[in-house]
Amino acid sequence: MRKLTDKSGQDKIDLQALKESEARFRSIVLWSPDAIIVTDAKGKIEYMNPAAEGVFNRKLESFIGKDFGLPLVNGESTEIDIFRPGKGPGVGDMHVVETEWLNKKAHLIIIRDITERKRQDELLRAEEEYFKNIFDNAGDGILLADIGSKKFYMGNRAICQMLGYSPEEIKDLGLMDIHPEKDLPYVIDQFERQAKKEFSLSRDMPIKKKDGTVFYADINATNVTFAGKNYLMGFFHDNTERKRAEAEIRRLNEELERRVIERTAELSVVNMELESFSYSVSHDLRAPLRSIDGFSLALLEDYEDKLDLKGKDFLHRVRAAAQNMAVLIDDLLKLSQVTRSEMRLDNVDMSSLAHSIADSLQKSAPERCVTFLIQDGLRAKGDRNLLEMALVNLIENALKFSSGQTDAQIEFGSRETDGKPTYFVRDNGVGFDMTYVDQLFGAFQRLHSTKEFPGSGIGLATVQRIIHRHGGRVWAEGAVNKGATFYFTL
Amino acid sequence: MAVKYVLKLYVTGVTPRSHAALKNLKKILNEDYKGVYSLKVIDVMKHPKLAEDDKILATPTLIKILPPPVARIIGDLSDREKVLLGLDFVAVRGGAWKK
Repeated sequence: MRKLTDKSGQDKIDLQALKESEARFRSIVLWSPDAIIVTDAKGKIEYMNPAAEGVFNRKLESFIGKDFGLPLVNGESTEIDIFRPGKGPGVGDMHVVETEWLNKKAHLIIIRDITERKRQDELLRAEEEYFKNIFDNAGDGILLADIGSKKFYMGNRAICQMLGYSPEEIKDLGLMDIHPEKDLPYVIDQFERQAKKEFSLSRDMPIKKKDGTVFYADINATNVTFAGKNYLMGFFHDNTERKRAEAEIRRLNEELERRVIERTAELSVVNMELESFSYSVSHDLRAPLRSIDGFSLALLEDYEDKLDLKGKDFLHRVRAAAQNMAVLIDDLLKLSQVTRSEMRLDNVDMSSLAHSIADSLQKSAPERCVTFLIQDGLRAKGDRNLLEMALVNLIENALKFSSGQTDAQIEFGSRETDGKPTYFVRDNGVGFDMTYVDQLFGAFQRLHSTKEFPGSGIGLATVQRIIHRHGGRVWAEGAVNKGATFYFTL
Repeated sequence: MAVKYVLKLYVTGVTPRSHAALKNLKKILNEDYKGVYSLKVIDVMKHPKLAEDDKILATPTLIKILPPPVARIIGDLSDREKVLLGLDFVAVRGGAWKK
């Protein structure tokens, strides 16, 4: 298209052929989708093709003869903004050629509308930037490896920081370079299975940094394809901190356990010392007591005629006090035995145990008229001797505090609480004031005077120790003159 | 100094081409024509009427109103010599253009 007309050889050219040639060029210009503008040497518009009206979005007859402007390029392309009234700005690729038009110097200007292409480019560019941003700023390291060669295609900032390489260095490396040599067979196997989509997550993979140090990371991988090549995109999550925290927790637990063992050992030593102390004290106390009681008795028998009534009464009181103290010491010994004795766990028939206790108590106090209500089929897992001791104490207690009742009634049963049995011993005796419920289970604590109800104040303390040794709980409910109920769990 | 050169530059918003043309033109004018030119920059998006009256088809388009004759050039104005030639300025180096 250097020359639109050629008049130099006109005489020799066949007129018909010329017409055909002209028609061909004409249709090219008419059907071209690009705007074609011909201006004179100064930039005045001489011709515009029909496509120009589409490109500039308006009728253009009035533009003929007007100044388009002198294009500052020749033989090359430049981008220009297209003014399209009512349609928003467009972008054009303007290509200018100096030529001849009707034997004069002219510019042939071809403007291709690239608005849509530019818009797409811009969208793609924005999208690419967006994803590049995500890629670069992701907290996890991201590494793309060629599935075939296992060479890295690229890595993000986080993986560079993790490994200690620059983004450029990463591109020269491959799978073999970032794992310890001894682990390579395992690493490669995991890589290949991830590539085959057998699974996506490989946990605790050993990773070798540039400086040779090794850390562990979870690698979550996914297959990606671009530019016709298959890559495995791995997301690396550094486990160092998690591992450190886990190790710390483990260390703290071990430390705690060690301290518990130490403390328990210390406590058992102290306990044993205390128990043996109270045991020997009790034993040593019995001997002088026996002397007091024995010599008081001897005095009463051998010197009966020399003592007046008052003297005899004093000696009787001495004996009663000594015997009372002996009972106290016996109870103290029992209490210490509760904690000293070895626990032997058995399946204990609580109902028959309660029956036999009730029978023997009834025999020892035939004058009492007591109704025992004992629930059948109660069983418990525990030490038979200890449980018996606890039950004896509770039932004896009930019997004692219902002694004023003409129709005394003692009940032993169980009810379910949260799927576990809660046993109880209930009486309809004098009961107690709930205000003092806390004092019930203390050793030597008594809510009633010895005159009213004899006793050492050790029975319930023993019960509590037995229940605690079984890991259970014991508590009481009652009201003055309305009876008492003792509950326990095991 | 009296204003001798009156110029109008049509641009489209803030496209890279508009931006480049304005920067290039200011550089040329401030180097050799400081104080003797008046430049009006017109955004076709804001003033489509002015653009239509001036028969603007594409931008950047630079129109020289004064001194006559009126001349217009189209492109990013990156080539200083071509700009001066296109505007029918007598190319000057190191001094103001005198008539």
